[in-house]
Amino acid sequence: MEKSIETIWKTGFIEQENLIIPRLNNLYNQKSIHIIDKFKRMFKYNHYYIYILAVIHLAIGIVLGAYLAGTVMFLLLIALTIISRKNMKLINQINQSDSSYDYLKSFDNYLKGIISKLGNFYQVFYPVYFGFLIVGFLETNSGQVALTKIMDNPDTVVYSGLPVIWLSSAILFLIVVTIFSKPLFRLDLKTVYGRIMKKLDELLADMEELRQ
Amino acid sequence: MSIDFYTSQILPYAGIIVKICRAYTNSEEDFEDYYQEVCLQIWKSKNNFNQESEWSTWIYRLSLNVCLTLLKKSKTSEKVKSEIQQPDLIEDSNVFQNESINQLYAAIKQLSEIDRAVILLYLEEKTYEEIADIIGTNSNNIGVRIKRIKERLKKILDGKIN
Repeated sequence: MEKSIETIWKTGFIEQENLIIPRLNNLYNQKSIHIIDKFKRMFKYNHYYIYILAVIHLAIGIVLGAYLAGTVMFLLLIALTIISRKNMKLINQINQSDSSYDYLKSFDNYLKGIISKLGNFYQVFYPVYFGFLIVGFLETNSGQVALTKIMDNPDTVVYSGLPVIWLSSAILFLIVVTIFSKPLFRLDLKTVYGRIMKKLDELLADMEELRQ
Repeated sequence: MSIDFYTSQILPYAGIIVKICRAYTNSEEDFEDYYQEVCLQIWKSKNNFNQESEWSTWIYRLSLNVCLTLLKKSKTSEKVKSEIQQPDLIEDSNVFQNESINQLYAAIKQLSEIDRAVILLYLEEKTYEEIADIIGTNSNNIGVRIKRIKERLKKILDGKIN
């Protein structure tokens, strides 16, 4: 006689061996691997993005006649990628055979180290970048026209071939950029990696609670 | 998660979790991942349990939600994977020692995700109201839906189980 599905279910699960409960081990194993893989992917795409940005800067510099600024900004962005890639290779030194918690904790420490190193680099990067943005403007036709116009004014005070008002404004701007370079870098970092970094913190907090 | 919490609050209901996770996974690896994720979510969400329903009902609801979320995620990643390679179609269909149960599970897996949930809850002898509450639907059409699912299962299993 054909059994009903209710009977199959009832009789099938009367035998306890049909319900083998898996052991709970390495609870966060998959999650740790996923989150670090995601970081790696994001780093990689970010590098591609900076490479493209570098080429765009060079191209715009050439098109607008700002050769020096275009080249310096191109080299600056390439330097940023090289430093970033070099640091990324250090990920491979993290021992993957560690427990999920130790693996993730090592990665978190690595990330903090990188952020600190890059933070120092950005203290140079931002002022140079914005400095050459100003230089680039002066190299272009529009910049030259504006410069000639202000230089033609007999009241303009000039120092080293540039109007003092421009020079002082640029210096002041670059000082502000230098002072705020680290917060600016953190903002940049938060925009790109904020969400996943928050996830990493939450995961570590969960795992620490689990270990208690 | 403390061992105490696991042994007192989860382990007595582990059977429920196993049955649900089995219905939404095709490999032992996925099953263990799903099971662990459900346990984790129970532990993480334990403070959200408001005692309006029974602990077991709450576990059913949470287990189903976790499984459906994981299934959705895996479908998305499978979609990405399948662009570069053929998906792995090998299924673990003999996970239980009872052959009839294996056949029944294989049939249940052919149902839609929600129908799987409905029939599992029905087989676990939940009332229509409880099923509707867990699934988040109206209890009026649960009976009709169960009848339809049973007919479909009967059709799939026809001749396979005696």
